[in-house]
Amino acid sequence: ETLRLSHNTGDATTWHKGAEKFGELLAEKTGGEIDVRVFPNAQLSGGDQMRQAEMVGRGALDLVVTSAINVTPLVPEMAVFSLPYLYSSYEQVDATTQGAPGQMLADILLEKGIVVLAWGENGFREVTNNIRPIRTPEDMQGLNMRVAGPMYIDVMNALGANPQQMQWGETMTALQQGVVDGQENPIGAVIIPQQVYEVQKYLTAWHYSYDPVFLGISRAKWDSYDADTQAHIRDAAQEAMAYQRQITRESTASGIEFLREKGMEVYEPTAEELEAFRAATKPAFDTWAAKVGEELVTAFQDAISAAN
Amino acid sequence: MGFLLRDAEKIICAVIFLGMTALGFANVVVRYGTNLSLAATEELLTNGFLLLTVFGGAIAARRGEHLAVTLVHDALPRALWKPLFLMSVLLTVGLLALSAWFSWQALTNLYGNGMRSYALGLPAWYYQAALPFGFALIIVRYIQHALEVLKGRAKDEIPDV
Amino acid sequence: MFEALSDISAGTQMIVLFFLLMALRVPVAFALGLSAVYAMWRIGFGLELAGDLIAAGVTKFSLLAIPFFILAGTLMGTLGIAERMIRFFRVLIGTLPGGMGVVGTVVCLFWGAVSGSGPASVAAIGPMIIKGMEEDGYSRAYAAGLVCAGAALSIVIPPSIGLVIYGVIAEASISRLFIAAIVPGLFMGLAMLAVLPLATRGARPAGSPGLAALCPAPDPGLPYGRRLGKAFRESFWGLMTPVVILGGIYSGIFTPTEAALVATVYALAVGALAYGTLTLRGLYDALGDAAASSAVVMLVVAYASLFGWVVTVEDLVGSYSGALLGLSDNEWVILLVIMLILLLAGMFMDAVTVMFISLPIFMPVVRELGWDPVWFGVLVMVNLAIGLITPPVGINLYVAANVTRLPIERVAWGALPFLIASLVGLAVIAAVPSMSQFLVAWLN
Ligand code: NA
Ligand code: NA
Repeated sequence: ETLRLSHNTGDATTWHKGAEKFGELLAEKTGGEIDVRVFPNAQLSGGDQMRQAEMVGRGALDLVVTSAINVTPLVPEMAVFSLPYLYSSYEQVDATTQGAPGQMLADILLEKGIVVLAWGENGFREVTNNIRPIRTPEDMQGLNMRVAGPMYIDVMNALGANPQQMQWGETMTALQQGVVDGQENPIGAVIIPQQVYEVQKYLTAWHYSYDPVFLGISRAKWDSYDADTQAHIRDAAQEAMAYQRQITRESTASGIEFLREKGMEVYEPTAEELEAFRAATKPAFDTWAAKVGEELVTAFQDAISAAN
Repeated sequence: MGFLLRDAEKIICAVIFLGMTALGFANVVVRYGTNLSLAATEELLTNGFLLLTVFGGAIAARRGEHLAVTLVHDALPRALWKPLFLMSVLLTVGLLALSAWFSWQALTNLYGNGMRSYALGLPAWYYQAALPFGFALIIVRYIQHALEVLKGRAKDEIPDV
Repeated sequence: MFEALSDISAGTQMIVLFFLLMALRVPVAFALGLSAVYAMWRIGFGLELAGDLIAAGVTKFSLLAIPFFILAGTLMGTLGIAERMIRFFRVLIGTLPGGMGVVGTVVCLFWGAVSGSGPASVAAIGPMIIKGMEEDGYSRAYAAGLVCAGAALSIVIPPSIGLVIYGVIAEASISRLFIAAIVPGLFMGLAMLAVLPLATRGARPAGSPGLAALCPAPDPGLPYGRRLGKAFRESFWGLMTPVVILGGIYSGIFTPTEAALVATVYALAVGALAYGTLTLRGLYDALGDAAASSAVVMLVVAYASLFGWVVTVEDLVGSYSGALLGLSDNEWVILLVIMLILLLAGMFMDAVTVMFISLPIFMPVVRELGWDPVWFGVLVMVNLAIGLITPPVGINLYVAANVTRLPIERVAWGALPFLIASLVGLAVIAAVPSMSQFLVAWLN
């Protein structure tokens, strides 16, 4: 049987490579009985990235690879990952996604009909702009920033910038013509593949918000398999997403060099400078932590302090 | 009352269209003139557009404006025109009924899973609540127009200049 | 009969059914929807998604330019702005051979630098140009055809949403693509001008009086300069429209999509404040007319998205290209085959969908043969611009049919000379890669 997998990025991204890897491994483990066809660019949901998870939840699609931000309209608790300056290292990230806190969210997604098989990575979101290098929160004052969602609006407001919501399709021209001054996105997943470096001068690797990816299967599909097959599926998913995390981190690390070669001025803030950003965005953190729920945030913070 | 029934979709469209124009323009002005922006503009405009499409579709159906290719049809013997027309109306009404049903299903899905809109965080089903009724209204207008064509009161051709 | 059918893939059946329904005079939008729903039912997948797909097909921000440019175009017509502009162009260059045809082509190219969407351009400038060309002795169908082909170049001449998407999928430099597309875009305009005499021949009745006799220029007694000045003053606010829009976009005040909105508000302001032609009743009618016109186009887009979804799921482009690309290893044959596949796909689907499903198949070939991806991107874009004027699904044709009240096949017929010119233009751009490359090389 061929399962259909939907994800919302292009076919050259680490999401796609992870999804393809999952298909290969699954075919191998099941002796060719189950294989996977990957549909990039949210083609199966008519280009709507927000609806994919919901379609998997009601069993209309089999599999999905998507990121937490894309699922928040369906599962608001997923916003916990992207709280500003929740994380300061990959070790802390892994302590949550690969540990008990990740399981808490998997339980919530299960209620929506999605079985989370494994966690992957979209990456830390970094800021770019055309006006000046950003080293302190004061440097953000008055910049028109294109952002991806309601939480980032509050974060940008806390930093004194002017947030704008804009569809990605328009953002590149808007950056080029100066309708907006800057934007924020992960390096490996967006800034490099979408060629943001062609229209932006400065990048600050401020790691202000994290976005994980997950590979999920529809609960109806999952329940139709026996324990052996389920084990094969889960193993293939774990292995594929471990691979996806690894290539994402590698491409992010080499990406900074690549962006410098392309002429961007890249700034990597010190720990003290990051602390200033953390302090400045605290009001937004508090607002959104309250929305997500204290219990969940505490579980994340505990796992993070244990990882240090 | 008669005006309201006859012009229902036109009034809806005029209000939505004018509201969309005002909101979108206000966003440009506010963003350029102040340090603020109306962050939810995009969400309201695209969803307004959806309503505009369905209710505008009803206006067009009433006027017989939905574009068809008449080349093959006109080459066929005149005796076939009426049965062909009836069949075309039947098929179209069938698809519109299916569309109403599909959008009703999509609506109940959104209602059931508690999905929220991206920017404003409103229940997502608000935006799609009118869709099934919009498609139903297109059916009504399409049939009204077809009856007039059959009675010979409406020109079934787009005027050829 | 059904057993014989089961040998043919559901996707191929869908295409056959679509043509059959169109022949039965089922409106194009509904023929697309019916054949797609049939195919979904046959493959047993997709019907439970159909409601979401219809909504997703419409709620794309980039499409918002269409209703607002249609509204702006309608308002410019009813408020007398378009008429004054035509009067100005008539005085300016109306006496040149080709008259309004030349004016129309030039305006299309100029507007291409404003708009990134073909159908939105037809809606915005179409009514104005068509009216002028008709008064100048062109047939309405040819005028509509010229506007369709000229406006299609909006997706070639930067800014172009299509080139941005190509750059992302093909991993090619977007700014280079923008620069590379300028000369080919203008060249396509020249190709259209070359066939203009063809369009006029047979369109004008034999021995037809020239423009001057048909529609005398205003104030014939005055010298050219004085007449021009008068026409300029009268049409000033209308002529300012592209200035306001281009100025606003390039000074970073608003985006190309928002420009459609600004054009609407600008038309209202000129009608209300400068010309005093805005009435409540007129506004209400214009809103209703524009809503109906954009709905006609958008329902085609909505149901075409169901159709395109089946094409994707059934991998129709992949299976047909696989068969065709295996035919030869000659570079030119391969290029020809790719261009033909794109033309065929463009006959049914919009440019963005075509790129998403075909480029992942073609780009490996492009890389293997060592072709310049920027040059190839320009070719793809010109090809997809042509797709906007090829029946059965040529969105530009629909918008033009809608604004002119002509049957689509008449508009398609009128576009035929320009379609042929565009195909020749495409062949030249393919054969002369330096046309796309020299500006990029020169600027580096
Ligand atoms: Na353009
Ligand atoms: Na076409």
